[in-house]
Amino acid sequence: MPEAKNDKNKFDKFVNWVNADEDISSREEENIADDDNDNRNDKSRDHFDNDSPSICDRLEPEDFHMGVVDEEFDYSEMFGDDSGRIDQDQAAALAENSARRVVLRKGVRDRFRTTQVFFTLVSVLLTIGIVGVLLLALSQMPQFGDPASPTNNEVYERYVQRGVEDTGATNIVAAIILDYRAFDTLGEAFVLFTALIGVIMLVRTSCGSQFILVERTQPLMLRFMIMLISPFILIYGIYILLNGHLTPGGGFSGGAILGSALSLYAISFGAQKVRTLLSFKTLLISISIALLFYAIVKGYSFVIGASGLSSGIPLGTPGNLFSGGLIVPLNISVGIVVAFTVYGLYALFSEGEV
Amino acid sequence: MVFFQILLLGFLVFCALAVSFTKRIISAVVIFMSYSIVMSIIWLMLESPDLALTEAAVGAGITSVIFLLVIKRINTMEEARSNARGKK
Repeated sequence: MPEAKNDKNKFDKFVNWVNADEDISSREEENIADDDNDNRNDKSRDHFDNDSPSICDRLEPEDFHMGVVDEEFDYSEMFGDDSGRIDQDQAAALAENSARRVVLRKGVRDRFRTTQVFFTLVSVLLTIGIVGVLLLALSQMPQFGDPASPTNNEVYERYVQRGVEDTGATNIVAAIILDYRAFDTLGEAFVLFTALIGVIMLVRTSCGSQFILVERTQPLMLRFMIMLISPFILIYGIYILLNGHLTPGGGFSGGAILGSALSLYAISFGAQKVRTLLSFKTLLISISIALLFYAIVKGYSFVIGASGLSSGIPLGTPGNLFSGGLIVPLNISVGIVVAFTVYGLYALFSEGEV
Repeated sequence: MVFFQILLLGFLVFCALAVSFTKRIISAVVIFMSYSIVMSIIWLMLESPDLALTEAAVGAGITSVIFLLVIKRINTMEEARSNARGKK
């Protein structure tokens, strides 16, 4: 298999190039340590808390090149120079290949310019076309508040007239999204959870971020202001969360406010402070419990549709804080999911660790 | 009131165009934030305060935070790259 051998040679050269850095000795030390640590790392990667010192502690940001190949690298090393080891046919093929490469590089600039002009024209025309179609569709829509609008059907009447009676919630939006159409909100919560899991899989490493952000101490004024403001933001978020069935708001907006308050706190004081309160384990477990609670309580509505079952919890007096049956606990669970997902996304993107 | 609405809608169109024509990415994010704020006022005038709250919290708050975070990270990586090249 001469071709496979050739590939292997190329690969070896590439690996050598990658490893050849200015501090070769420390790099080799790291490699040895890497071999020693490999098993331990693989094991500890599965656990939540990883205290064992690993190779990642010694890595600097410039050790990572994001897959962008340096311009100083001489490609001919990989393709042209190893003709001594391979037979004549392949050498000829490689020479032809590199010659074609040179020709390509000459023609590439002109072709790039023409394609750029072409794609600019196409994108402008497409945008104008889409805007035109959308404006045309908008002109056909019924007027805002038109009584003859097709949205004024029996569903709307039912929700408006019997909503308070059925669900005990004075905020009809909360009644719809958490009682009549609870499965929609369940799906949305699961979308957020899936996004968080995806980001965890992609970004989280056993030893924090690969790209260590330079920790800059924030200005004193900023820290002081955030220390003053963040309790009020938290209380506002909790208020919106708990009053979702009475006034505008609910799980999504309250959770978003809570999550941004947590992120704000983490920006100014460092994620370490938030981590003492909310570790990765706590975060994942609370999100899972909240989702599980929602799925158990309202999962049946996927089967029977929007008609709903009586939860057995008394609906209470509409307008009281303790009313609306299951809507308050469902709001709280949605709020937990949204807040922790938002904070988790922030922490993962900024530090690579929750 | 109608004048105010037209003013807001005009500002919305202006913001949407300005985002795509700004050279600096950070100003684009700030313009996007102001777009969300104006949009939430418009939601409030269309009598949907729930949407207004969510728009203000998600559009102006969280999305911008994540955008700024990504910009910060890209700058850090570019600095690290140029430092590494400068050493050689």
